[in-house]
Amino acid sequence: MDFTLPSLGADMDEGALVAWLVEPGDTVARGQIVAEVETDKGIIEIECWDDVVVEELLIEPSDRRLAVGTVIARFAEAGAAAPPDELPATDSEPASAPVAEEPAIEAPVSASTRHRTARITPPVRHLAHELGVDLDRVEATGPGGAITRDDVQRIVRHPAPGRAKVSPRARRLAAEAGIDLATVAASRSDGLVVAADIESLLANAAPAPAAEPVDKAQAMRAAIGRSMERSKREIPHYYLATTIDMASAMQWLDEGNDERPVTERILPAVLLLKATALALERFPDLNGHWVDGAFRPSDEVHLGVAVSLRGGGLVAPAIHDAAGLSLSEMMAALTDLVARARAGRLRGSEMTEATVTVTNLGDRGVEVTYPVIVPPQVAIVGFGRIGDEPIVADGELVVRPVVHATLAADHRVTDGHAGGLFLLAVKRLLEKPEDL
Amino acid sequence: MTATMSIDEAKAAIFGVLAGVAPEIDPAGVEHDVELDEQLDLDSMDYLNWLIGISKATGVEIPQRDASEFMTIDGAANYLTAHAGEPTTA
Repeated sequence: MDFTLPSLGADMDEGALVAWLVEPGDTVARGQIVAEVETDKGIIEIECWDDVVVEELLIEPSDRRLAVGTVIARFAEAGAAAPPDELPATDSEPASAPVAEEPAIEAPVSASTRHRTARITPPVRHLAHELGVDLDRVEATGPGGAITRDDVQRIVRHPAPGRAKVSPRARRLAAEAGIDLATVAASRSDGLVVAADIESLLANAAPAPAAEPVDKAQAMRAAIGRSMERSKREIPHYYLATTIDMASAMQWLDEGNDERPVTERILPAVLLLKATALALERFPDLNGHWVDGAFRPSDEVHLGVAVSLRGGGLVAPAIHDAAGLSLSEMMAALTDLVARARAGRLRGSEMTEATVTVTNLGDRGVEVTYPVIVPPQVAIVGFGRIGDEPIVADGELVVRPVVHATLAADHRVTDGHAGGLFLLAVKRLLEKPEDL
Repeated sequence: MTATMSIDEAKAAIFGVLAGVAPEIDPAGVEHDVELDEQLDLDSMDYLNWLIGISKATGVEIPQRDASEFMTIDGAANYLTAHAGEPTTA
């Protein structure tokens, strides 16, 4: 099966292969990181979502920018290849990686798979959404009847009989350039390989221009700009805000933290994230992606967390299945994610699978945020600082710690009524923190 | 960890951890008696990581109720010298 450069996040459609972490002959378990790709938002670790054996690495690491969808390696399904004990041992396979002979469908290799439906992993579902593939049409060949990435990609590469899969011009261009059409990924959702696909492949195969050095900060700014420009151009935002009394939550958190060693302390931001994730489970129309003119809700809440980077820039990688995490688990996940975001070591699934984003600018003294939705998501939740303000509680004017929560949501999917109920749910959860 | 710690030893630990948490900060530019959030761009995660790093480097426990002692470099150093060598519960 072909292994292609996967999607790297909204409006990031190319990356340079920095390193392979596997070699031909290696057994790769689903969820294992196989390569590192440099993007405008730093180094991203690329996972493989099937149990496979590496047959051939087609692309050498270099500075050359590759288009998403470029075939970069060939893998064989693990069961179809030589048994692992006949393959050469390598140093590159992490000792902790789940071994291939484990029942793959049950292997807890990724948080994103924890509560997935039994037969389709979120990355595969996302790929199908991106490619416009109806999963009902896909023949499953994975372990336990699971639909694999290859199953989805096969539909695109080999559409139903009777449909042209390569345009005449694309076929001519490929023949002239000596390109094997089997290695060309179609960019169109109907699977037709068109001339632009061949031209894109040729452009990416050309030597890198003798170029001016890429300023990484500028590249990231440009990537953020593309995403936000698309958001403001395409998404009819509406904005709502509410004020949340945080007295109970902060007292409850402080009491808990008094008992915890510093290494296990929980930040207030974690309460905000958990309340948001739980509330989103009740409002699925705010949680998902707008793809090809339609909203596709997500079964799980993969919470994108906006992380500002030192020296400027911003990424919003996902905490997978955030509603299912305890507060301690959420704190650990947040700590890990922020550290890796700032070190430029995020994973591909974290960059592409967020179903909603939370931005918290309270540490910078911001009182109210007016956030911009990250395409293809349909909502973003903002929090300001938790600080003392006069509010009316039980008919009396009192000073209490409060936080201002805002929601920016996509009017193509929801109205203010649903958004208002969602913010009310967040407020209720934070006012009763013991339920978080 | 030794039972006692000088102010200089404490500050070496404090700045050593700070360099890991926020590598862009120039230690020479940090005023020791000014609150950190007024002079450095540290968020709450950075600040907590700084406390965790200091606790691990010095062996001094930093309970939540004492975190306010760590608002300045001088405050942190004084706390560490006062509590170095105390038995830990960990």
